[in-house]
Amino acid sequence: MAVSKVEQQITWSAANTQSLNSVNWFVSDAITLNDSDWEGSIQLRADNSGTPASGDTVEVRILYSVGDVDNGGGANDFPDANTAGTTASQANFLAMLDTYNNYDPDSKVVPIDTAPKAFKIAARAAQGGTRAITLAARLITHRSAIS
Amino acid sequence: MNYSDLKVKIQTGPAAAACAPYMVLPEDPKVPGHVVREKDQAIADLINAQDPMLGEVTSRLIGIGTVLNVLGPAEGALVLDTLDAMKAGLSPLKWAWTLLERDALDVGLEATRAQLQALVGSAFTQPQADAILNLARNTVFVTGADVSIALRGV
Repeated sequence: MAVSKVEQQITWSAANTQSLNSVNWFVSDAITLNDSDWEGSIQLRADNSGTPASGDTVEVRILYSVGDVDNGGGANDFPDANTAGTTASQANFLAMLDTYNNYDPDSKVVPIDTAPKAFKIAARAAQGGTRAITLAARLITHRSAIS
Repeated sequence: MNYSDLKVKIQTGPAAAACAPYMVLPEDPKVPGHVVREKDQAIADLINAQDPMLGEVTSRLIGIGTVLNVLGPAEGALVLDTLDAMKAGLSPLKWAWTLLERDALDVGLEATRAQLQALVGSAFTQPQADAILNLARNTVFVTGADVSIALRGV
């Protein structure tokens, strides 16, 4: 059984980064989890566009697919994310990045659950209206392949 | 914390020259967070040491001894002599003097503060009045985070 580490960029409308330039939630494109991935993490990097001030934080949450439970089909529904990203109240907390009290860019790797079918991540900058923060994220998984 | 007041204090107050080398404004080239934090803290330390921020006005009872302590024995005695001489012709001052003798003049009350301010030029200089009026305001400790918000906003 071969084992590998596979990285996949998380995108926002196909872009590798997202400028969090308001206090709203920005929700990524959906990422499908491979059947052979038995563990995974999200790599996060938040880069402040200006000189940071206290409170220049980025909150990151993950929205796991809840499947298509009402229809019993194969589609993916995501909590909250279908409402134009205006809320992420049902999303699971992933990380709080802080470009003032930590380093700028601030980075973190957070483990995620690989059992769900897919996920999106949602992020917002607390003071994004004053100073935009550019967020980049990548999925890295431990993947097995039977040979 | 009034961040506008803090910004004015940093940029134009008595500690402005000392703060200037550490100031990072939004229009300046980007400085990383871990670097700017030290600069913000340096400014906070300077403000706390040289030109402290004052908080809200609260009740504070003062007496003759307080005036002598705040203004100094010679300057304080001169002010007290002047007030003592003026009180016969100024009824509000007469009653305020009674309270002052009992260590019960509240310089946190709006009316008292207005009366003290009105005596600037006749009994007090403005710095002397400020010294007494500021007794009713606590010093507010400024942090580096406060400085960052004052200079670069939220």
